[in-house]
Amino acid sequence: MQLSVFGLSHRTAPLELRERVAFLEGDAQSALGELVEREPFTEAALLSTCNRTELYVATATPDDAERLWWEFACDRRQVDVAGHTYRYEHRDCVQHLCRVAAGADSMVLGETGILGQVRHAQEWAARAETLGPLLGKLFPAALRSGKRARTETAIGQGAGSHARAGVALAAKIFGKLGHRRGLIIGAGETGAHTASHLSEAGMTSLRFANRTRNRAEELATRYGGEVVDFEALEEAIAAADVVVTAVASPERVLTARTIRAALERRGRERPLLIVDLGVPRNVEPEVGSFRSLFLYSVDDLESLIALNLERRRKELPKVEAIVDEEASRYVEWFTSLGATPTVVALRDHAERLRQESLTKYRKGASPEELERMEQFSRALLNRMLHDPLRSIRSCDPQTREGIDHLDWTRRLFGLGAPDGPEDETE
Amino acid sequence: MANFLIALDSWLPLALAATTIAYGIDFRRTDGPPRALPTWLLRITFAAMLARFFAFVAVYGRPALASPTEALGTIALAIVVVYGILEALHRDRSVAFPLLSLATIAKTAAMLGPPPAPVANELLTQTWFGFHAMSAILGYTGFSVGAVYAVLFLVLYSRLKRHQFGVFWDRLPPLDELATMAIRGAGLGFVFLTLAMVAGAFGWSRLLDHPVWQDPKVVSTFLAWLAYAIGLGLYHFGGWRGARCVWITLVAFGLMILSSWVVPALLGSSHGVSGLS
Repeated sequence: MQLSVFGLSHRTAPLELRERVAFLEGDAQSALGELVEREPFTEAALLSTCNRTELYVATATPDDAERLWWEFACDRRQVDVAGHTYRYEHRDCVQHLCRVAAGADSMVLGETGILGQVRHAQEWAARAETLGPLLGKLFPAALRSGKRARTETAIGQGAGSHARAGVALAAKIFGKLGHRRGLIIGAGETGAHTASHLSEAGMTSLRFANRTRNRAEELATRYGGEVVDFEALEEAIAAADVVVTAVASPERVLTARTIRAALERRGRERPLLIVDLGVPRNVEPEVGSFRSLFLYSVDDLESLIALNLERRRKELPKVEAIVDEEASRYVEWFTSLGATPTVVALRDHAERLRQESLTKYRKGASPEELERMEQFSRALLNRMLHDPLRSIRSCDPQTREGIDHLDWTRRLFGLGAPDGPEDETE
Repeated sequence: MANFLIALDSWLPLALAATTIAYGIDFRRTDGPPRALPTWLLRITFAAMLARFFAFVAVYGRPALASPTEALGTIALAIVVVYGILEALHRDRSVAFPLLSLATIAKTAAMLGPPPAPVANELLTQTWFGFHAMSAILGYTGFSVGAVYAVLFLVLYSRLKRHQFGVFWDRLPPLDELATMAIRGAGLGFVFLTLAMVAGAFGWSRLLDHPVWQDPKVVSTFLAWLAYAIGLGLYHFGGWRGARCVWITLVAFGLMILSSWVVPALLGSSHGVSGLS
């Protein structure tokens, strides 16, 4: 039995192909169920995001498993993935998932969303009952790797997207955003994304304006905000601290005249941040010269993102060290699951206990008594271990049951490494 | 008590230097939240400096203001007090290293000066004068620290306007917080200077025979105080925020510098009656 991953990602496949192969939650669970019913798959988990679709499997015949998986995926989606896929096995597979969870393989280096997506993949497999002892330990190891990368290194620090960069700017100007007021103009995907980040950053007062009022109402309901009429923007800007525009329009949405009028209403030089995420730009650029007003377009945010990504890149060696450590721990545990290593570990463990007990009672005993204690303890140990050892030798580590059996034996006798992957809970 | 004073004088520059280095190291760190060690070192150093201040008064019957080097030691204490208050209020350490470096230099210079004389000046033994001088030093320190924050505000403001990200983006607290700290620094200075002016007015009537408003330094200091009063009033009661508010405190600080150095030099003043200006 061995671990393998078959996948395609932003590194190997164009977006059009990735979109077609991607699985949603319901799809993924039914696909996993169908796959595990087939011969070569013992365990399976599907990680599917906009940037990657990967099937992690425990299988005795990886070639067959790979062929079947791609046939299955391509038939379903009517696509040809030839030349766009990759496959990793054994340690490389473990290392790959740990890197993915740490954000080291992401399109935006260090992005945090992938950690949740790896957790979803684990949950989908658990619900589809395709998670066995091998993948059941692999995903927690990868999640641990991802968490450590984010807490022990700076790979997740600094904004990596336009929306996040906008929120970082707001925090740099206003500090805590809890009592600040936000206005989001444009209720499309970018607007929703920014609203989500502002809300995460603690902003509770959010207003939404959109040409189609329904979309704005949806967002207002989701984030507990209110809707502003598109015609009443001047008044809404006057009341806001942070304005984000994300409207797909060839014309300027906010003119210098509107902004000047809004600033006059505000008075007293209260700072205002306008983040223009529209392409083409939604705000007239001369607005940027107004006093106490900070205007940032997509291009302006790019330099902040580039700076952050460069810093994240410098953290990669530290992240790789964490990935390597977690992968090694997993592989060590995996290797220990063979019948012979388990027999040796159990014998060593029992012998150590026997020697410790003898040392305790050796004091004051004559040489004859010592000899008899030695003989007695050895005989007792051999008799006690006889049945468990026979049972271990009968385990087949190529089957899911065999791995389960060996894993439980190691747990029962406390043979696992104290900091092994089995001791971690998610 | 005298031995205690000598021991403290030997160790305080080292303690201040260690505190400054701890803040410097913490400032350079990019991982994790600020460490607690620098703040604890500052508290311990502050307690030792305060103990030294009272030990000095107990031994010599006056505050340490009889000579420029003695005054430097008191200025070091004032810097630590004002910075400590602002850090406690805002949890910001961005100016800790430069400010505490100044305090360390001042304290070291004070240690290298001549030993204090038992009674240097009769005026120094009077309570009102000690209160006046200490309040004034704390006031000027508050204004100076506020001005440092005001300058940092303007630097960050200009960087943000020009879309420049770098060390100032990384290391400085949010713009709004810098403005608040500039105002708070000025506010602390204003409170202490007000106390110094009240105590000074009390002493003036006892020492000098001409009215206080005929002294150019006192009048110019009053004008600077008025400028601060207007700036603080507009912030607290007029709802003013941002760059304009910060500029007012900087103008007031400029007036304060003029009244302290330029006006007495050009127009003369009776304010140096104590032998200290």
